[in-house]
Amino acid sequence: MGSSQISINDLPHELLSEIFQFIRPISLLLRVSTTCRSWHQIINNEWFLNKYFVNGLNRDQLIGWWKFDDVNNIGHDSSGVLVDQYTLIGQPTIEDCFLGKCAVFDGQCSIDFPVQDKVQYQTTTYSVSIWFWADSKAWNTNQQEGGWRTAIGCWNDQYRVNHAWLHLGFHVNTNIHNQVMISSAKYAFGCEHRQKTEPHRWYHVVARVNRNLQDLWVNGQQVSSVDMTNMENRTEIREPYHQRWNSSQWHEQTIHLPNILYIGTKNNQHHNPWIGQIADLSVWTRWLQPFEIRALYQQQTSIDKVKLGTFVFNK
Amino acid sequence: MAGNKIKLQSNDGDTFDVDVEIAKQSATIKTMLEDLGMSEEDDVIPLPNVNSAILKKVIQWATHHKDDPPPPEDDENREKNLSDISSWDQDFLKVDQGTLFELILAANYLDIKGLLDVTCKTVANMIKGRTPEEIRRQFNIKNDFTPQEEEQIKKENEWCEEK
Repeated sequence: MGSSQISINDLPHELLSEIFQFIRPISLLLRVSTTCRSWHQIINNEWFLNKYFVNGLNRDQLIGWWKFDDVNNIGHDSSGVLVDQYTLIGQPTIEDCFLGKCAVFDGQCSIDFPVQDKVQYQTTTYSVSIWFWADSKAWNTNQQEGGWRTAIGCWNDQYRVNHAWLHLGFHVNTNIHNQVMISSAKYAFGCEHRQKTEPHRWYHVVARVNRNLQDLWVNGQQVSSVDMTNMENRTEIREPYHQRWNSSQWHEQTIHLPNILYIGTKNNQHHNPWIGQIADLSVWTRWLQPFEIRALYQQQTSIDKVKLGTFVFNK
Repeated sequence: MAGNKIKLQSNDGDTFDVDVEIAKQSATIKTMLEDLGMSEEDDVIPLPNVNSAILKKVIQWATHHKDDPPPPEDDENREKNLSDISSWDQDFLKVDQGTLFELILAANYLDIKGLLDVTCKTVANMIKGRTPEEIRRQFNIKNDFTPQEEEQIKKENEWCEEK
């Protein structure tokens, strides 16, 4: 076959667009956009970018997604991982909200998901994205709760049980908060918002965790970050009589893994029950990227409806 | 014409006998046969946008992929299939750049989604992992930005490096 003289920029723009759709992630594509003016013109285009980010966030590493849109199947997980394997405690209900639907928790209910046999959940790198709204009744506390309200938790931290994986909610006198536990001696690391939580207000919260770092985003802003490679950054040691670690051993210690995931409470004793609403809750085995988090909050929308292309185009 | 074959004619006059089912991987040819009432038996289907060498390659590709399931209509699962080029396709697409781009044009004209995807992915893979300067060299592209414009765009794109 004879050699053709045609070159890449002889292709019409719609075909160059087809090629660029396959260049991922976005950081790589934007670098490619600096090749020449015509490529920049094709890529830096709202229509192209929304096609590039079709259907919202890339759901490849989504392991839990609760839209709460089926009144007869309130705990249904749309990620396809947990699906309908849940137990209802009490009677959470469904209401309309600005995102579509949300689950309503009255302080006596939760949705429990066994995840100990789900390989996707046995991970130390993850993100949780949640919209929540707390009723003013959440501020009436009793001794058992100690003022804590947990939107999503897996915090079974009794002695010898190493299933304290996630503890996301707020304290009625303080702020939005997440906790992670590392090692059998249970060194807890917390991330906390500086502003006090208000009742009857929607918050978009994202917690991102890996062995070395945890951060917390509230309403599109990173509000806290903790370096967990330094054990001195812990907030407490839950098993003071267990072996303590010195800094030379610390890097060998692992994050706890989950056994049961609870929406609307903290643990298997159903402590810290949520009183209020929860919407578009998602769990990922990757860190959501800052632009994804900011777009979700800025557009006040769900992970499948967010127009990342529009957000990127307007940056 | 014996069996279920049709004649496809390239823009330089060569004619190819092709099984109808193989030819119908092209939505363009399928439409001609089904909607426009062209006869399989008598007519030669002219393809004025495809030369003989490229048409031969397209027929070779379509013959190899004749039993593939039809590609999905929507784009929902597209991201999952970014880098899955079969070894046969990789070997098939070891051609010079000009031929690769001609195949893209032909796949687009003939509306063969599978061939369009695999050729575009191949070009995307040639772009990935290279700096803009390396891409320009690879594809003989002139840098028509001023240094100031280039710097400005890099600055505008800094946000996406944030972790």
